[in-house]
Amino acid sequence: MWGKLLSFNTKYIYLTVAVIVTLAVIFKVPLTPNPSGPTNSLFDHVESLQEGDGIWFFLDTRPATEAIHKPQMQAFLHHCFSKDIKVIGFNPLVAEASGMGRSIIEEIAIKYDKKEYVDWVYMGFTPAGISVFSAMNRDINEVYTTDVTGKPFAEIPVAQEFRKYSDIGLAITFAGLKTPGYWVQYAQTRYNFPLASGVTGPMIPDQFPFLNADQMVGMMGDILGAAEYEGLLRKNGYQDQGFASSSMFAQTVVHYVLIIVIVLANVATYMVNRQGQRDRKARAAARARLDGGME
Amino acid sequence: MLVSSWVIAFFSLCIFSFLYKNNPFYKFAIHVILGLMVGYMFVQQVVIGLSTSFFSPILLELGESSPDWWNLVIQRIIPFVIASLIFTLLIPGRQWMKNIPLGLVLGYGMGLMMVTSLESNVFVQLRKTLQPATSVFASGSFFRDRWPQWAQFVPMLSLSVVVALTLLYQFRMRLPQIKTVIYAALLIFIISLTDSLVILIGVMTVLSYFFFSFERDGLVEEVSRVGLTFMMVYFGAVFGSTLMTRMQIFIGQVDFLTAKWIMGTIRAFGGT
Repeated sequence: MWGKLLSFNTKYIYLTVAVIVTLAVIFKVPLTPNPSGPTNSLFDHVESLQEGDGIWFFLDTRPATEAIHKPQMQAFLHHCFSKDIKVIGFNPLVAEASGMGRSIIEEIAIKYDKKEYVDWVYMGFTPAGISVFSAMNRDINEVYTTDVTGKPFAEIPVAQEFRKYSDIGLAITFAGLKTPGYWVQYAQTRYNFPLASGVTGPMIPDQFPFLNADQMVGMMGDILGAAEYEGLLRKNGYQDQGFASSSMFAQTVVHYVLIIVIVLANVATYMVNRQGQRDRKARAAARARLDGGME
Repeated sequence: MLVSSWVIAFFSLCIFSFLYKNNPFYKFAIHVILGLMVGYMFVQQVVIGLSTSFFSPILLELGESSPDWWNLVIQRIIPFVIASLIFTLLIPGRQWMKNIPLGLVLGYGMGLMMVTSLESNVFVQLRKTLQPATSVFASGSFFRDRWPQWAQFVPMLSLSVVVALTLLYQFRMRLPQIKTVIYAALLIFIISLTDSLVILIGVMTVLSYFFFSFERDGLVEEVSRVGLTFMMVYFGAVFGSTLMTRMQIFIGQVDFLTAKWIMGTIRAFGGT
């Protein structure tokens, strides 16, 4: 029986997961997890900002992680725009993110009647490499002469208002790569400004040294972090249900299924190995008896 | 919008078809996506990069009534010429010139990294790791994240109780109840040290695992095994988080296929 379980066709597991996820996505059952410490700290930091303050966000990811970073950014931007905080977006380290940022901000900005270039702007990519970290401490105009739409820097009031790290209330990197470490190493430690991150799952454990050393003020960890942030927004009367919260039901069910599969596979492996050991011992004993008889 | 939905849906289904088996649709989709990515990166990095960092600023400056020639040469022309030297790689006998831009970039990177990496990745974090004994009274307490604000005084209070009652017990009151209270307060104090102790033990044992100066045996071997356990816990956490990420990418795609592609198509053809 255990041997049969180990030779089970994995395509059925894929099919089970696909059916469960499809049903969960169609029915959109909301689930709000309790906010963790890093998400709470990020929320509290944004809460402490005043109307007219500015934040920078860096989109250091590729379109493949849009399903994670879009809900994170949506929750974060809802919070910023509802508090009349001005937003400037960049993707200075990853060229592929240029097409993502502007549409995500625009989608949320329209709901709060925020005007492009006045309340928000998306600057896009600059091929400055690591010199971007120090250039942004002097003036972003050194590395950005236009925004992503081609508008000259001189005609963007919001970019002229928040030109360097010391002008902003928070910088947050939405990262799917190892870039939060670069922002801490090359920018935050040298220029000492509030930094936070919104990261994908594999990167969550890497952020804790920065959080514990106060090099980051907070973190949104994967879709769970986004759902926690949405929960905090709801609790404080900012926003209704978001995509992250409705994803958590599918996540929970799939995690249960996979835990069951992992446990069953481990038990089956253990049982098969034990049976194998017994068989080997029995064969060795039989051989020994046979050898003894022959002698 | 509808056409783009169908294109995205087609490529998504082509990629998912790999779960059944490797097939021409999957191969077609993967080659198209890779080609698109390279093309997009070329446009972003080279074409837009050259336009925004070189041509546009020069044209803007030249459009001024009195162009700042010095600034233009120092900030745009000379860096462009130095960067262009990388192409001397293609000229026989002049390949050595490529070392100039490479040396500049590497030198700048190394100089920046040497100073900042020590400060950010070693000193700042070492400071936080080496202060568990003091931070337990302020911020590193087991009670900090899990209990209300007032509980941050618990470690100091429990230690004070232990010291005060031990002194009393030694000098005046030899009551058995006091002993119980002392043990209870001591237990609370040890629990309050848990976070700091776990961090300290984790750091020391993991470091011992990577200690190769002499052969590990006996106590060092045992200690390094504890370090290995700490690392396995870390890898387990990374695996769990990776699973969440991969599953979310799948959920996002399923949401697109159901809400935008199927429902969008139904709506476009007059459905509700």
